[in-house]
Amino acid sequence: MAEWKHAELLREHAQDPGEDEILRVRRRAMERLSQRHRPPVWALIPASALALAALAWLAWPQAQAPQPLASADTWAQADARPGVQLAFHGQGQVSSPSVVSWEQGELQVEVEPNRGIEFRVETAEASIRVVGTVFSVDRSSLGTSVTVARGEVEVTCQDEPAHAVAAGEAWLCLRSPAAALHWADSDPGAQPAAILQVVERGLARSSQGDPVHDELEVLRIQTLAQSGRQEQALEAAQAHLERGAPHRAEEVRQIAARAAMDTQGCPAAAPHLEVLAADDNGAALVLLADCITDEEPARAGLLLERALTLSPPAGQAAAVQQRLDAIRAGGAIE
Amino acid sequence: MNTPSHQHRAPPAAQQAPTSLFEARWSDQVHAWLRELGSTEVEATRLLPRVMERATAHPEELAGGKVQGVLRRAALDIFSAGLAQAALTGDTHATHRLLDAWQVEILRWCRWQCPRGVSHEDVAQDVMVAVLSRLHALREPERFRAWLWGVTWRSVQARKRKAWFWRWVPGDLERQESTGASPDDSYESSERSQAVQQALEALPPEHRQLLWLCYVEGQTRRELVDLLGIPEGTLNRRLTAARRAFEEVARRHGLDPEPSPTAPEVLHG
Repeated sequence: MAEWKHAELLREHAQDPGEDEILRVRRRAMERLSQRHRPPVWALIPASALALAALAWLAWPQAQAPQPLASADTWAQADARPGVQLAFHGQGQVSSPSVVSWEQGELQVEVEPNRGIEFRVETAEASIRVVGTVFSVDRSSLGTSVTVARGEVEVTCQDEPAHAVAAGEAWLCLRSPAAALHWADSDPGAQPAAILQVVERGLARSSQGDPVHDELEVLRIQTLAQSGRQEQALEAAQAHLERGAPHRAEEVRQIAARAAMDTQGCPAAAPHLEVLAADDNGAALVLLADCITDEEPARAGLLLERALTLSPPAGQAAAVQQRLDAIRAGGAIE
Repeated sequence: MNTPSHQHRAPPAAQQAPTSLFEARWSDQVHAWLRELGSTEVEATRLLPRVMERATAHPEELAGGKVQGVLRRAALDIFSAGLAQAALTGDTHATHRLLDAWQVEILRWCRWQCPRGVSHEDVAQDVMVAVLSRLHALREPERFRAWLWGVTWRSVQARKRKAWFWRWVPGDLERQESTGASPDDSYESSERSQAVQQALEALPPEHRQLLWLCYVEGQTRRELVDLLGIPEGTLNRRLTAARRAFEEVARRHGLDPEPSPTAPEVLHG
């Protein structure tokens, strides 16, 4: 099969990055990562104080609870009780031999299996119950994230039923519905399915009319559309619009128009395009004109003329002009 | 860093008996690519048969000048799978080696996908940070390429949303300017490349990414189906649409390599 005529042009355009560029980007990425891991000011406790705290804790009788756990920028280790090993950086306390209350930072827990040890980690928004496993708890501004390395834990987030988390899985208990938005924005590696799951839980914890709820709805619609689930995106967008939610209505309607066009074609997209075109949305004017060119060429021409007055980007302007010229050549308009 | 120990040096690839003419032709080259990626001599020798096995599993894809691309991608994917596996168990050295092997691809992908006003270097940083800090989200180490492509795609979209938002923040034009491409990039100043860039920017992002994968990287249909997770029929339809869309905008930007009978003067005539 002959190669596509523009393939060489595209290959010419694709430039390899230079050494300087690679080094610069890599260095900045490393800097960002180190800033992310830099402990907050309140947590800058000297290592000696940490060692003293650990020694004091070890020397203290087990019955003397609670015992503080604090480590700023290094990992520290402790035994919560025989058979339960902790590694942490952050702060919390051993509230009782069976419970660690964790306030901030990352905590890894290893419970020896088959010894019938009951153990729980509590945070403000989560309770993690475990029998024989290895897992970590990371409490941040987003909430409490539980990652299981071995075995299984049962996580109960605030206002949610208990959820079993198996080895290799992670679960996030949101500090607030708004944390779902922040999480989706801060994790470029998040899969659409994970985003949708967190967004649904954020929606369940917020009320219609609340700006966070509306923003979560929009994020859900965007994620559905971006992951190719156009029918669901259309359904969600229409529900959002029918509810009269003013929040980012134009953006949602654009998604609705696009999803409707992809799944059902012009008849389904036209109502949305009409609304957008009435608001002088240039792309909608052109798309609507495309939909009606055969049946109503004169109106299509008027829509295209209107689109041209809205200063479309150079590439689009030429395309619109070409469409308009074709309609004029057909005699539908002067 | 990867200097092999002479005591444990594995026999050079060419000394191993090739099982076919194809392997005889390509073994040394693939071995060299694996070394370029950062594998040790021992690793390269161990991985070589797996690369060959994978590349020859679909011999029909090796025609039409695609053999080098198929082999290079197979080498990178097989090498990455082992590193990703090690990285997932907490081996940070493996994570950095993984990034060493992919950093050029990441920058090339970002440069291609980012529209004007979105800095491809910023997006590349986002992707690298994701590799270094969020690799635990990778479920199948052997599909690292697909995971990384997804990360890049979403990072570009996230930066685009931010760029859009910043345009509406009054008085912060300085930041907007700073997100542009590097000023010393002489390539981007050439007229022809600007025309190509404008033509590409007129396309939907989905079309742009398909043109990259198919015509710049030269990925086969099977590889694309695997990477994008869509049926082959859908892929073909989208690819046809992407080609047509680019042809249309390329013609308007004077980039058509051959005079076309549908040029504007014919329409007007």
